[in-house]
Amino acid sequence: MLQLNNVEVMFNNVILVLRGVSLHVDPDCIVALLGANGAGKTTTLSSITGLIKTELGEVTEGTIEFEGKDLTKMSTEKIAQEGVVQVMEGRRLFAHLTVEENLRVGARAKKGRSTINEDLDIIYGYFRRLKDLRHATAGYCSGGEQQMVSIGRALMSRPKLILLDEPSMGLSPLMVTEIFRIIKMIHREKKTAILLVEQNAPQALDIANYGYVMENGRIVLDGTQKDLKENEDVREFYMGLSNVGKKKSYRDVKHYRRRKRWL
Amino acid sequence: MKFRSKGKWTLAMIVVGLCLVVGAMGSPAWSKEVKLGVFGDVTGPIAFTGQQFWKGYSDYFKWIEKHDPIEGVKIDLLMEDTGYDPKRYLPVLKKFEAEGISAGYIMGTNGTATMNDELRRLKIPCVSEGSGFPPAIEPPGYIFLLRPLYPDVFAAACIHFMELWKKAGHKEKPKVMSITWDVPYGTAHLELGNPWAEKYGFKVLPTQLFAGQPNDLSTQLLRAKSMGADLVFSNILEGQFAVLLKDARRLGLQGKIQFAGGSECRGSEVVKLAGKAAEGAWSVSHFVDWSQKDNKGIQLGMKMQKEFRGGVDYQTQYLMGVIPARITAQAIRYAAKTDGPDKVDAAAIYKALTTMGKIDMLGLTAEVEYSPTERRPFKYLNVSKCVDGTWVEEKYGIEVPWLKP
Amino acid sequence: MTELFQAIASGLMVGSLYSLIGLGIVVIYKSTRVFNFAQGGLLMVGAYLAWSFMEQAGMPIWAALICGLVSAIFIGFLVERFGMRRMIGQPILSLIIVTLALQALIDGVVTLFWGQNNYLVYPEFIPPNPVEFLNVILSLQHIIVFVVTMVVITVFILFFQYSRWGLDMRAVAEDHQAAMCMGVSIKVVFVMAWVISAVLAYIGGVLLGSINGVSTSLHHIASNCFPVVLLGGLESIPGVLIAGLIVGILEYLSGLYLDPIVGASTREIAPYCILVLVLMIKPYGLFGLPRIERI
Repeated sequence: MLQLNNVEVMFNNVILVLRGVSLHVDPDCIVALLGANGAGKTTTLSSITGLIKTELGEVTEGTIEFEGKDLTKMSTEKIAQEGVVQVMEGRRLFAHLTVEENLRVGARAKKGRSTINEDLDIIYGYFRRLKDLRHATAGYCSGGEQQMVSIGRALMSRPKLILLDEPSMGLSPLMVTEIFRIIKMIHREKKTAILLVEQNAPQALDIANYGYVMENGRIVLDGTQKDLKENEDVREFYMGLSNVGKKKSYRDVKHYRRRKRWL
Repeated sequence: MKFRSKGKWTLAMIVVGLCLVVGAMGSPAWSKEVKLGVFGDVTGPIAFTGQQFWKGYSDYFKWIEKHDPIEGVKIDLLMEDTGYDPKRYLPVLKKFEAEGISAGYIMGTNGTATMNDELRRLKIPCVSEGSGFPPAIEPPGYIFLLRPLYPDVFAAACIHFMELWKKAGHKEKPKVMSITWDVPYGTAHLELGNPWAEKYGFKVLPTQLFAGQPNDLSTQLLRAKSMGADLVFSNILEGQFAVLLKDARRLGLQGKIQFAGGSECRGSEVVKLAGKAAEGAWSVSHFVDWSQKDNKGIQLGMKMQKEFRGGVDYQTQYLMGVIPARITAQAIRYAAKTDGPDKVDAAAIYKALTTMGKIDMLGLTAEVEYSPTERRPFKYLNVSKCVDGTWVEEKYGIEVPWLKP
Repeated sequence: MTELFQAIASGLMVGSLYSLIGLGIVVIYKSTRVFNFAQGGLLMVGAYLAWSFMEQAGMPIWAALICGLVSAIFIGFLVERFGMRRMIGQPILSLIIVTLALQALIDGVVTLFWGQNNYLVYPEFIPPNPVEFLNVILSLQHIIVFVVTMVVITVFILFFQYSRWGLDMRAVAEDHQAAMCMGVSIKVVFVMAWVISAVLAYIGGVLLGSINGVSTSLHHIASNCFPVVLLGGLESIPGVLIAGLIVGILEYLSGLYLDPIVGASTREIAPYCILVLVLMIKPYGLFGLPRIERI
């Protein structure tokens, strides 16, 4: 459904941030995009939705296709209307609007007949807490509630693909589990494809069908959920799991570094 | 190719040579060039007034160049926009100084106040509309006023009002109030004028001020009403005067209180803006109005406008611009005649202005006469009245008390 | 007592004009975060255009007013399309500087086409008849200004609170990128904001022109509106209404009671003094939205 082929992104005509990223997302599938800070995950999402244009960025090479349409030439709002909605990092709510107004804005990307009230009920079904908060000012809600609004807002347009950028950021472990549970549920019930960017690799890989690992603007590793969970490098560097207690040699580290560079 | 480039050079040389020859011919040795600097407030709060001044001023010099040239002298007008902004006058003066001007024309009180000391130092005589700044004439310096000080303008309104008041048989003291603009120009008449009016037999009511272009002057007018003012004097611009008159009509004061403004209040603009509300208003000024068809100055003004502007626009301020041009031109003419055309410079013009005696103003104003100790031109003022949408003579030649600090 | 009532009534009338003009600034600020310094210029152009349609084109007054309205819409569109559109994504400060440039440009264009040296006067379409009410005498012009302002402001409060477009504009004001991600077209919102603002300026210009005559000094009224807008809290529509009325009344009351004491005209500085006092107590203005920061 979504296909990125060898995408290069440059900012200000000088800074090359993505150096040939290729990935694809199948319908009805959760794809996780993992990587350290500054690896280019958010830029990848922004280049899909065209937001990089507002930051003086530009796709200089490669193609981004969604259901056969070239997204690089479309404006962000058009892309949203095509059914690709980005839930931006840091939630980015309309702070002075109420929760319900935030959700209503989300419905703008929907093509065709308006089903706002129906959709609102569905969202309140997923996030029961929001129903009580519907007239509260969004900016004063707690982090978890804001994340719920943010995801709910994206769902309002009944998108085909949601790009979720770090939904776990700044939340308590309990809330993270809750959010991920809901993401999984939405995916199951609405058959929405999700491209999930996360630092929290274990959680992400728990719900993802497929995953990519990014480093320095490149995809260095990809595989199914099972493959990645069992990959030693991923276990060590992204999941913090290693053979605890055993002696570890620097050679292992070097091995990974070298391998990554040549990929 | 080579030949061609050589040809180009030759051509260029010929052109340069021709230019030099033509340039030399253009300024024959027998014609002395006299530069006059105009500090033009052609933008800013008095833009409308300033632009009319400039039209009248420059038209007059065009006229004498064409019909009545000063022998041996070529007059060159320089005009810089000063925007009625005190910060802008001195830089313009510096520029004019570098250009070597021999005399100048200042359009407002702001410029007069800013440049008074500097002009004394540079010894450049300037005629000035800025009658709101008494220190310019005391001690007498290089600023030559075009009308009596504003206290005298105020006094003229009072004198004429008192005459009518007594004729109508009133016994009590008439009450006068100033509703005026809170700038040096607007308030210039208060300090000297109020004590004088008190002595002259008026009861002076507290002054009401406003700032900028008002939208509504009801409160000031209601004060005038509740205090029982009989005469309201305002040294303000035409747009402000129109609002004042309109609000007075709305509040039912038209005809009950006599409104009088300074010379700037006598334009056709006031009538245009205020409509019927302008009826009966007075304007005190130092010159005649356009209705005096057999006045020589008015006839000249019409001829000039027909020739240079394609039609007559009855703007009061146009005449006001002709007056300083006439004075300056007559002084230069006198200097050229007595000292010789090639000696016309700042000092000669200054000497001419202070010693030449009476200047014939073609009837536009009373005869102008400066002296080594006097910078005010004459002591006569006129009151015009708005009747059926035009300004007509109410009383001309009122002798004013010649107030001085 | 009559003086006091008259001062309050005059203040309300003039203040409502401030509100109307300030509203244009608020609408643009609300949706684009740009403080529009060119509002006075837009107002002036609107007033001149209406005059041209009435006097130069010789149209009947209603037709001239409609033509003026259409051209105001067109001007708002042009300003957005060629001035602001290119600046999307640039720092807000540069957009604000563009509005300053626009003001200078409009000054120049108006001088070029209509000349700087004239008061132009509309044919009388609002009779200047006085209206007397409880000993207070008001002109019909001022009353019409007041009524128009109230109607326009009510419409805008409803528009922003309940309409889809109003919601879009508020969302864009909060976060351009997030709004784009939600499928809100920023360009449409910007165009709408500028068109609305130009129309408001036009209405203000015609009303002001019918009181004062049309001249190049018309845009100075915008400088009286800046404290109004700030006092109201920059992005609140009820705020700009109430602040406008407060400033209007204060101007007249200070003119009435302070001037005789001070011996100079205080009405121009009174709004700024009040502004400083209010901002010391309420830094976001009377109705401004506080910056929401969670720590």
